[in-house]
Amino acid sequence: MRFLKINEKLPGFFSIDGKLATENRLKGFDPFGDGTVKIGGREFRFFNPERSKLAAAMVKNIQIPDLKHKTMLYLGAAHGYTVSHLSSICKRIYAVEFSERCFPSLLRICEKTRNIIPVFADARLVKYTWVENVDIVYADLAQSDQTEIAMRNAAVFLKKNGSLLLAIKTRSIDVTKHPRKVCTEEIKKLRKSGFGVISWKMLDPFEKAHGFVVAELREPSF
Amino acid sequence: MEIGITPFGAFLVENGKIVKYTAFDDPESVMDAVEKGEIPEHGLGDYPVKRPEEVFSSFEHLAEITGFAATPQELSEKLCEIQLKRVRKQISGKSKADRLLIQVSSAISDLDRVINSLSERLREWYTLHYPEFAATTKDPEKIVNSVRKFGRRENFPDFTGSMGEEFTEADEKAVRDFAEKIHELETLRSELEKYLDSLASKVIPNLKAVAGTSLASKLLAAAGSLEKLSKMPSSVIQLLGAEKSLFRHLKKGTKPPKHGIIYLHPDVSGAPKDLRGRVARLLSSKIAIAARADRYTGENISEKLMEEYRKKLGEILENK
Ligand SMILES: C[S@@+](CC[C@H](N)C(=O)[O-])C[C@H]1O[C@@H](n2cnc3c(N)ncnc32)[C@H](O)[C@@H]1O
Repeated sequence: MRFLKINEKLPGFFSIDGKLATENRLKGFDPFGDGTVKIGGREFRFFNPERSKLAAAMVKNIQIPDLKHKTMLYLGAAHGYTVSHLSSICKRIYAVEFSERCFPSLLRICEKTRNIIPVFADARLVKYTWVENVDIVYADLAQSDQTEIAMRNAAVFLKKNGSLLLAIKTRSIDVTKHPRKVCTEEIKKLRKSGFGVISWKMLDPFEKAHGFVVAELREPSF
Repeated sequence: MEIGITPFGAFLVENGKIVKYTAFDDPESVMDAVEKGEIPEHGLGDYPVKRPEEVFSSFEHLAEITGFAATPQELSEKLCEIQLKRVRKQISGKSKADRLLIQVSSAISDLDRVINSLSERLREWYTLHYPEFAATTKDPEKIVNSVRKFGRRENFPDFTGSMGEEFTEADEKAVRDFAEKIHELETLRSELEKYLDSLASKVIPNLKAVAGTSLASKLLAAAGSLEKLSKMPSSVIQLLGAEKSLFRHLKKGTKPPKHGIIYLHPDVSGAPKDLRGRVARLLSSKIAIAARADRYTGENISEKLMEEYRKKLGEILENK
């Protein structure tokens, strides 16, 4: 048997022989064909930085807050790739998505994991105000006003000292500007609205022209 | 004092403490109401509904005391289960309702086309017999109704003579039956129109208010679905239905189209020519907002939308 080197990069996230993985809460759960390994009664599923901006951010050593047993509002859940991994780490995730096409896959994942709460809504309108206050707001929306949408949601749902994780697709904001420049401008908006930026980087080579920002809500001033 | 509404109960907060609560036994309908901007019946008095920290940061504890979920895990599972159900309903309901609307609207357009060409046929046909009436009457519906009613020209109350040919009884019966069928199609059309109108009030109340039933459903049909329409930027909505001339513009450098089917809206077609582009842009921006509201919340924001719309329309038309 091969000897595998495991080390926990962050509560819930592991590096197995240098590859990022999460520990499966549900045995045999591999809805996206990531591949799993069993090590001493534990099961790990590889977390692909080519498919998830969060995984890319981890590999690039962006300082991600502790997500273990946290509550999360996730905007732009799509087919559920990233949330399927987060479901093993977070306590409860409200997964907002507005594209009908995504739901067959997303609902199947919610059904299995039981701690992802699907929400079919436009994140821009913030009408799902029955949702509780959360420790983390995560936004991966690929929209021109993605930062504003994320901040508006954070203003309503993020607990004080909670964290905002924001993936910025610069191509949705301005294709003519340098991607890094677009990101610094979006970060300025965050600072202006009372967020402290903890860490951020571009996600190359995993995602072209994408930034990933970790911020903390200090003084809400919306 | 303020009230916090959660799926499992309403809580009255005074000086940072929950002083009273009502447990809800139908979380689904509470969530429906909240998303529509309505306040569900809670019996805690007439205090403002907000998001008090004491309520929204202690879901697990409050779910336990209201008997909704005994553990954090059960809370997740319950909310998940409810949302699986709601989302499935929202998705199947929406796509079914807008598909129905598109079919009815397209059926009306088909009928229009058929009625038009049948009426033209009737006119030509009847001109053989009574050209003084059929060739000079503009309104095709009037020809249909007169032929149904009178049959041969001699029965018209104002008949004085004609250059047309004689019709035998068989000739008369055939043309009369034909007119009768056209009339039946017109009746069908107006029934479908009423039906479409009532569907639109339920499914797309905001689009209906901004664009009118007929234009709203045509936009929907051109976009393919309410989902697609609600995701279109207003610049695309403005040209919806003008794809052909847009293509011609890109290929041959002809003048770019300023508006697609929203040209059917009286505010656009009725605006002075040099302002039409601006009116079309304003209208399509409101249509985009209306489509999103209809798609995702069902909340009726048409009053606010129309107020803004009229104000801006006034500005455009005044400071030309
Ligand atoms: C880049 S994808 C997200 C990928 C996903 N986060 C993952 O890693 O698995 C962006 C998603 O956001 C959704 N989206 C964009 N704008 C939205 C909005 N206003 N409300 C809800 N969802 C939105 C899109 O439909 C799309 O599925």
